[in-house]
Amino acid sequence: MLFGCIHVPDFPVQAALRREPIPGPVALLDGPESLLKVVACNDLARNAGIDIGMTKLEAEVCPGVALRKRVIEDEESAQAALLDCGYSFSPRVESTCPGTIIADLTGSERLLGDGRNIGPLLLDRAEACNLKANVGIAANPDAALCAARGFRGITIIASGDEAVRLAHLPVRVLKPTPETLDILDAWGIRDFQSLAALPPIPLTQRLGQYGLHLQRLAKGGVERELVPAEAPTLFHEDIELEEAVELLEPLSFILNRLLEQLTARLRARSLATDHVQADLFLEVHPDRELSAASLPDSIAPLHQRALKLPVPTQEAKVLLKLLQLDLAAHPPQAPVKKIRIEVRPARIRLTQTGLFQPLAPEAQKLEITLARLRAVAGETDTEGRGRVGFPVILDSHRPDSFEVLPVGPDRDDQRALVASSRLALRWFRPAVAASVELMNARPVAVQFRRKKARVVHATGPWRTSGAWWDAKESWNRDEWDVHLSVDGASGLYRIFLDHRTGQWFVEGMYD
Amino acid sequence: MTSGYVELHARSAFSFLEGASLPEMLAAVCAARNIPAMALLDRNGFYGSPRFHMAAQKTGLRAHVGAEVTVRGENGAGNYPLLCESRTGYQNLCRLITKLKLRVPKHAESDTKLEDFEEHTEGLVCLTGDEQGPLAEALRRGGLERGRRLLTRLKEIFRPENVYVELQRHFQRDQEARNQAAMELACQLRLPVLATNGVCYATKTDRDILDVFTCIQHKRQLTTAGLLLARNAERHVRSPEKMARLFRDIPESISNTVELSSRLQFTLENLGYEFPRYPVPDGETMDSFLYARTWEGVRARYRQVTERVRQQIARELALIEKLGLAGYFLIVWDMIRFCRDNDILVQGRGSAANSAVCYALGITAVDPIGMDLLFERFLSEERGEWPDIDLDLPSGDEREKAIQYLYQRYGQLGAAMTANVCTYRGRLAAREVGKAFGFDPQTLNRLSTMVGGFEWRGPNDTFDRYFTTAGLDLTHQRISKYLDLCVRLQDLPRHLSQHSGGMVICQGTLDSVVPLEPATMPGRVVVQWDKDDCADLGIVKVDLLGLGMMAVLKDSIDLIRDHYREEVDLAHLPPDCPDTYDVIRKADTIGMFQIESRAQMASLPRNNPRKFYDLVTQVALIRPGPITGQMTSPYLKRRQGKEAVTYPHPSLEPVLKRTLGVPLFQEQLLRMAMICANFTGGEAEELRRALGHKRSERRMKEIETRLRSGMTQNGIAPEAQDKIVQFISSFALYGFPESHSASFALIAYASAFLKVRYLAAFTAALLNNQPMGFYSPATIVKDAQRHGLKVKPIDVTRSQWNCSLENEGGKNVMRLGLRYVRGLQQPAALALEAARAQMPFTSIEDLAYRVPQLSRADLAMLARIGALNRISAGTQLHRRDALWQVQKAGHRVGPLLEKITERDASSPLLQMDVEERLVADYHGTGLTTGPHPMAYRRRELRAMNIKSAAELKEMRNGVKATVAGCVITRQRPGTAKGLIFMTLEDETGNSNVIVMPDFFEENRVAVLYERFVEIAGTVQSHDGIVHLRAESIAPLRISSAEVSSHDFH
Repeated sequence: MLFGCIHVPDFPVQAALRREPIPGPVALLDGPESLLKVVACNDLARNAGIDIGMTKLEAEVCPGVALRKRVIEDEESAQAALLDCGYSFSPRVESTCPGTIIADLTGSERLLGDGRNIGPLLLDRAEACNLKANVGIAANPDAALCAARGFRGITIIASGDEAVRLAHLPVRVLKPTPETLDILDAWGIRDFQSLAALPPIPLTQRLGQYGLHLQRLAKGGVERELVPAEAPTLFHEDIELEEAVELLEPLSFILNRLLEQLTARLRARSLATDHVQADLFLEVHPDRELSAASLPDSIAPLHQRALKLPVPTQEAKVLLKLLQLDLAAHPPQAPVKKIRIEVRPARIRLTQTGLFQPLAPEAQKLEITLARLRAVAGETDTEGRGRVGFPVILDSHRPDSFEVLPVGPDRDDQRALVASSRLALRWFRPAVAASVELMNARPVAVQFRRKKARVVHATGPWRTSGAWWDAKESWNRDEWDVHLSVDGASGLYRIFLDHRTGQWFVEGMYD
Repeated sequence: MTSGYVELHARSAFSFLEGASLPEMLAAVCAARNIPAMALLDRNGFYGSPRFHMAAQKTGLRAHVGAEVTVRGENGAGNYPLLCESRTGYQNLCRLITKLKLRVPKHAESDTKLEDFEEHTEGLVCLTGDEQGPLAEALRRGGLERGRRLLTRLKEIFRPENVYVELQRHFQRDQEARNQAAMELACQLRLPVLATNGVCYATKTDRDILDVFTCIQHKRQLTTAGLLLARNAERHVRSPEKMARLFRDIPESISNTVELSSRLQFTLENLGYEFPRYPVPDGETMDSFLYARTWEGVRARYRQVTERVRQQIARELALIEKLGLAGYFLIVWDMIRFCRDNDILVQGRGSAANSAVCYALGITAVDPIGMDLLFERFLSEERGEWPDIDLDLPSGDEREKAIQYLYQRYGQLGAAMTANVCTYRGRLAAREVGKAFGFDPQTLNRLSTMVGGFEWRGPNDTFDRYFTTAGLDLTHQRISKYLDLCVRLQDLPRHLSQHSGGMVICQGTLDSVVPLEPATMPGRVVVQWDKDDCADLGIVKVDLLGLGMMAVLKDSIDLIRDHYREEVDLAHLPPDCPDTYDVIRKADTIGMFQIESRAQMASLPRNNPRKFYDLVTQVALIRPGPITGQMTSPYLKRRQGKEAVTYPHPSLEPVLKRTLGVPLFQEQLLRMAMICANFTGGEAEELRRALGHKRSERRMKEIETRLRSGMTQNGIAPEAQDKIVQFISSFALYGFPESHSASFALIAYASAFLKVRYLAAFTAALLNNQPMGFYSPATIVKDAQRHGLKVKPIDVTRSQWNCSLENEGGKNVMRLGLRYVRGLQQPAALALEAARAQMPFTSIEDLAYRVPQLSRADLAMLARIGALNRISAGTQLHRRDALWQVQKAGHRVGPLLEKITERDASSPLLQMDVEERLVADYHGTGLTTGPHPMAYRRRELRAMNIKSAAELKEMRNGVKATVAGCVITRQRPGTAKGLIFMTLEDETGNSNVIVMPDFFEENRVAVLYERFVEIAGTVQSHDGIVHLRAESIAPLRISSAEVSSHDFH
């Protein structure tokens, strides 16, 4: 048996450096914006005085240290690269923890030679991925892991030498629980050797099976099966077209095929999807007569659309319909020459409705209806609120404060409307700018939409203000309910003065 | 029609999170806006009324009294604004609130019903309230009909002429609709309407604070509080003109405010408080009874009753009789008698020590006649103020016994603790506002630890700096708003707690003077006012203060009785014991009351005390008043004969002679004012209160003007005037009265005497009453060891919960108590003692089995500190043997390993080395009974030319030296202009280091956070006091033991 472990020290930092190589000391920050703290750093930064847990301001005091925000995706991609390193040597690779993988190298000796040959190869492969790693090779996975964690460079441990070679490593390399580490520390057990020397039965009486397991690890004698890494988390299908397609209808045939294939694969694994991404690679120069200069700059060669579903589905037809509607609303601006569809697998959600619960529309059908409405009405209004969905009144004194949710709220959460007026107000969205004449601080004439109206009667001001802690969000305004008369016609309106800008608006009309 | 407007519905910040301005601020804004009167109606109490009353008196405002009372339930729910028309009304409201408060525990919501009002409505005027008021609630629940029923009911309860329909206009549609309904009902039921603005804050800008308070109250964030927040900023104090304009369509609502205001005759000026009577035997009056008790006491106290004593006692008794205070003295005497009978150590302090009657009654221990103390300072006919007696009792159970005795004797409605108003200070403000702004817990913790700290506020010790250090970006708009609010919240009240010892007594009728409420502690009742408010309103109080040193003295006496077989009587200690004064003069005073601080130690060799009065001056000398008034240094120079004794003015010689021409005591300043500026006794008392009062800066200015004009009249030269004014105004920063100083000096002398004569008993008592004093237990133990006390480590076969004494070879040695085992709870330790008393433990397994209260963590901690080393008779374990066994004890291992037995003695683990033992000792007990950590490294330190503390003391002034040690105190007193005083400890003693402000700024981390340091600098040696002025500092790797420093005093 032969196992090789690749361990990347300061993994989060190295993962970040793959994206942005920085020579010298680097520290990664994470946490809320108001209190960023150092979560990882390299040796150079440590030497410059950086400690894990320092705040950003404390870290900034240390000279010459580059501070970067932690990006989890960097680590995911580095871990995937590390797994690829492993897979290039063995089909059985374990993603042990972030920054560490173990590959089962049994049988590869004939191809690659013994550990002395394989070690540098593993190291080189990791370096090719821009990761500076330590490599441990041993006859069991955990000895290889301890060697990679505990020693720098390549460590090859011959079978039977584990206990001797690991003897002087500190016990924290085993990553015991904090409580166990405390007990071992109180006992004066600081390295593998002294842990290994404890009598096993009394040790088990004190620390249980876990203690015994740690001791076996310290002796380098634990045999276990690897837990191979799971299959990829994305399913995708690609197709390169012989001739670029311009119209949506022929494109739908192709999309349908791809989606059928993908949903078949999902079904085979009892999975569904709630996230579909369509990458349409565009032919930017389809016609010889069309010169490159005449193409607008804004056309990108990749037209990317993503759909998020409220409920995972395996239905290709549903997905196709949604994609069609989306593409109808956002058509590609050039012919499509290549298509790639990615679906993210999700577990099928099984729900049973209550016996007496009224039937709600089927989730998929509802989603299609909403998508149709979105295609007609548009996604958002000028204030960034959704146009299609379920309106929900916000818990705020701010006038006209509501949002539109894609999914309806629970009925219990919906705040009861307080009827402050018997009249219904038709809101003008957005409010119409107006100019108002005042007399004794009361409006006497209002001009809007190029008409000037006389104020017959006015009540107010009704004053609201709030969100004073946030300059962008704050509001402060006086509302008036006015009876306007113009050209013999009259009506009841609501006007308001925005104190921040000094501008008057007509907000709506009472029925 | 009457013109003008009176605000009859206002809440202050004393409505706790429902109002945002202090009463003083409301009064000031009223004055600025020409409002002649205002009614402060705090929620369910008169919390802010005394301060409003006092502030109103100054500005000429009429302060109406009232409260908002909350009613719950289906019928008539809401906050009822009730105004006190007469004293009867006030008393009714007091009783009503007390009744409602006392029937539910503290913090519980009262289940008040409208019917509860019925017996208490005489003299009260009821308004119908704002949007949280009963009328709005009734209209919401059942429209006009329900509103009509409510008003009809209120007319029945309060009588028609006492119900006003309240109208408010905050520019809100629903409010205006409510107003229309209210006016319709008022018209139908012939009730008057009344305009109010429902004031919640003084000015518009304070609405932010109210919003933050709302978030704190509802545990929400500003961004999620939504409709709980204010809709606009209109609930501020509006001027009469604006109110008249706002209600121009209902002018009667404005004129009615003036009419109603003229009906409200009651103010807090005359509360109707009477001090209780003391029950005396038939045929006696309180005066005759007091006369008899006093003369009994005189004969016991003074072996020879001189004519002077006789005259003084007679004079005092005559004044007491004239002022009708015999009951008060008898009540305090009764209290003292209770303490004596129950073996509770008690001693009066404060101005009571000026009274020979108090001395004779056993209330105080200082002879005011012998010490020539001024009786008028305690009691004067002119002042018309109640005397103030403070009693020091041992802190803890014994003080509680004394408090409970007062409750028992005067009833729950007859005695109560005064309140303590907890206000928003730096740390609390930063934390709570931070929560409202939605900061995460780590940021909040960080802010809390950053804010606060040293007493000195340097130019860098500002909120800005704390926030920057905590990692907040001050350029961010939200953060700068946060900072602004933290600053504005300072000093606003947060909640009420009970004062540590102030009690007011009013035999059975206290609830008609001030509302009472339950305290968190069971069996305690608290009044709604703090001690200053009580004093302002002339309510007499007795302070039962817990003094840690009293408990130490008491415990020492018990230990001496048990182990030295000697009886010590504190009242009859050998006076002027030379050994004791020798030690005090050498400033070898760690653990001694009041004279152990760095500053005290630095002045003791100069003051060179040889008799009791020297100690009295010593105690008064190191106070912020004398220090900032630059009196300390001249006094010490005059003591040493280095400066001639002079007086600011020849007329002051009789007053200042005893203190060498330098005023050190409050009495001297009052007498100076009387002599130089012709102050009357009453004016002098006003001066005293201005000096002692926090809110007094303007008063001080007024008094200064009065002083100067008086002195000019007396022909005192301007330079002398400046000097005298400087003396007097510096006392605003706090100084002691002579009597108080004398009481403290007695305790200081007693503590010094016991430490010198009975070191083992005193040290054990001191350690059993921690935390107290200036030094940590580790320092106290090391100091005792250097003085020859053998301190034995914690041992489960010998140690008790408390530190105890053992006899070893005829000498008393001290055994450290189990109370010092980190994390060990007292019940577990007591169970251990009980089990051990039945039969000694045979093994760790036996201990774990017989004392199940000991957790595995307790056992491991005991093993770690070596307390289990001797558990098996005849076998000495080492700490790791014990740790090995502990891990197994009581651990179920399953059937396979169950039958395998081990002996306690065997363990495969290596013994702890010295460093490991030190780490374990400090981690587990906070101290070590073994050698000092520095002792192990002395040879290396010597090679580095680092001096020990003992060597430093011998060095000449001006030479360079390097010392090293463990930092035991860091102090940055407010009076020291940013200097930091560090004390380093090694095995030979303590070295004193001075850190200059600029050096501190450059070496902040090393000065504040390092445990062991080496400091190089220049020796400053004057009059036997040696300091090292730091010029470089470096951390020293001596040990990783968690030695602790007492910081930020």
